[in-house]
Amino acid sequence: MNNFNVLLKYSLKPKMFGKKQVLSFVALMLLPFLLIVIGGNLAMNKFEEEQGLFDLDFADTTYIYPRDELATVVSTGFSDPIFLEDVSDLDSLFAENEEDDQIVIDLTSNTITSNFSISTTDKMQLDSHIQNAKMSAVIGELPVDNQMKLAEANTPMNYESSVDDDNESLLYGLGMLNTVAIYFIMILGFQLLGNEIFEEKNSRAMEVIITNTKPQVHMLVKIISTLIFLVAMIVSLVIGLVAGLLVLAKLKPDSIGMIIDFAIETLTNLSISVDYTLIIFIVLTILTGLFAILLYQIISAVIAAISTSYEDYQKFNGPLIVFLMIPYILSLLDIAAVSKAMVFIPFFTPYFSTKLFLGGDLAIGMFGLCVVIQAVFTYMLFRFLAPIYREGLLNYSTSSFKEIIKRSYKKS
Amino acid sequence: MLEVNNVQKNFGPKIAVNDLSFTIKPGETLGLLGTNGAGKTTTFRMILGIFSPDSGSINLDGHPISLDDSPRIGFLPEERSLLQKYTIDEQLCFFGELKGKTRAELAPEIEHWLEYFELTEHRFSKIKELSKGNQQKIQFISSVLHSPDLLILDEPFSGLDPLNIKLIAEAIKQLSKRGTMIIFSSHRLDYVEAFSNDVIVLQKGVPVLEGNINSIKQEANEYVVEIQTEDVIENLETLPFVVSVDHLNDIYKVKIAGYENVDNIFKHVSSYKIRKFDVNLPNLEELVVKAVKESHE
Repeated sequence: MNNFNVLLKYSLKPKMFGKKQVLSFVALMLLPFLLIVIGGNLAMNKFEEEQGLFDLDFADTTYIYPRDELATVVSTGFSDPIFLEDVSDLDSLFAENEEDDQIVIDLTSNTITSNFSISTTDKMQLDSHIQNAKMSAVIGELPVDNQMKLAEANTPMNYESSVDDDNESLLYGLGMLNTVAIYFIMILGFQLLGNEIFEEKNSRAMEVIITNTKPQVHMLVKIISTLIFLVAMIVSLVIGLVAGLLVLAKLKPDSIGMIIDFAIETLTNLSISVDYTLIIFIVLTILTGLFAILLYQIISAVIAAISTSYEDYQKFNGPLIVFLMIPYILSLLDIAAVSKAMVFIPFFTPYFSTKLFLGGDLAIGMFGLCVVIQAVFTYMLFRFLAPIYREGLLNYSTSSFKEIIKRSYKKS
Repeated sequence: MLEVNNVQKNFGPKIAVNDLSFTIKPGETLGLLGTNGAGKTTTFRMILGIFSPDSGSINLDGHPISLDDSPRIGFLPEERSLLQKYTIDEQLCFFGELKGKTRAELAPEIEHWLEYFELTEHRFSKIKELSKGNQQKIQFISSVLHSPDLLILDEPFSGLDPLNIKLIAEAIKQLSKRGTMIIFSSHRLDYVEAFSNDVIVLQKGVPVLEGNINSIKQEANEYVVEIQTEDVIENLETLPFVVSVDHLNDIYKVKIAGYENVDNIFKHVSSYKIRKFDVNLPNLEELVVKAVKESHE
């Protein structure tokens, strides 16, 4: 291909190898590194302190409460039993649920487990009651100046659920992370590519560049160099993350085991088995993200190419940024029916596919179909817009965008 | 050799270039002239392989010209076409590498040209830090760095002071001597006249004047007689072979039709006290203006 390598080299150079750019990448690495090392270290210190505290002797402190017995006694293992007082407001918690609903309170591990979903408000109320009970027990049994014991008694309970409650939270969290990450990658890629092409056109360097290369090759190079830049950013973050974990492992050897446990627990909670489905899912997730980025990149490239002034460029860029926000917002709203429809729109697929798949609402085959639709649509869009891109690059008239597109297509 | 044969290019209903033909041999320079929108840029873009002609053909050394010939072609666009964020060295390497040269091959050429234009000390300065004149020099260097066989220069002297015009003019002459085919476009017709062997004047895509500059002048069969006298010459305009008379201070510029009338006008003014009597061919500008006017009629 005409000058593909030269164009790619000189497109990447100012994006990745300038002093400022290298500093940006270092900053990107430092961000997760410091977060992991400092945050992890602090968390581990706190955990170790708490480990030391949690040897309060709440003997025989696991209690199973059927829904109609919740308002009964909670024994602390101390001489006198203490009561969960005023649990009447928790009745509503059970009222909405089944007869066999249960809550297990384990004071040894400081954990509450339920076989039904508990709202955050109810959790807070329950926690408050249990803490009051524990505090009463501690104050009643220990010297008042034993601040450590008081602090321990004041530690909030951890919640677990045998139903999909945590699973849903985790799913929502992952979905949010996925959506936000895709959105920012899209926006960044969209702006970066458009600005670069517009800058070349505006400087008229394009006049010389396209006498040495096909415009389609030029567009492809710009898209690929932007993708490489985005991948380099992600890799920088991952390097920082891994380096941070390694340093944390050195400082706090127990931390790695805990992180691995967390990862396994996460996969278990999401009911994801490590088999070929997981691999296909990962591949499809990457592909769907890639195609969506490509689609927006093509649009961004064409807009920059046909713009004759920065005002023109902004005029079209603005509404497209808003268009980019539509799936982002819809994805955050998390409306099942909308998500299931949106996943088939090539521009929107990655915002919804991951979450729907993890939630069991999108079969792997349908996920694959979405990616195929995206691939075909991307190819068609490229074929349709490439001639407009070519004509746009050489157009410096101040006609309206509609006119420019019309004329470009006629000329092409 | 570059051969442009009966080339036509339309954009929708608009004819951008119509039935254009010319040939340039190694070492020759062609002046391509015309007002804005006359079809010069479209012609350049067809030669550069950006557009294909709707009919006719453009051949370089016998084969149809295409983007693959770009390493053999140098192009200096009318507008400043440099990437402001690059240094001179990066910019020249970028355009040079686009022409298929390696950095190692480009290094001595960059050194030579920067030295020629006294820009060596700015080699690692950003383009945006340079004056307009220096940017134009860099643009010129980038178009000749790879020693092209065919060089297209669109307004090469734009924004340059007389000293730098002389430097670029000398460089163009040297390239021409080395056998480079040059297509030259400028609104300054005196430059075109000074550099070009042949000229084509385009008007709305159609050539209205074309050929060897000296032949065109001869064929026009008009001469400018410059007469210097302190006297007032009477009845000059009434002479049947006089086309026009310009009188400024003590100089008369009389355009006459036919060389044979030089004797007649000499006879007419011989009774006056003449300090100077000089016969010249008309300059290119006059012929171009005349051709464009005639095309309107």
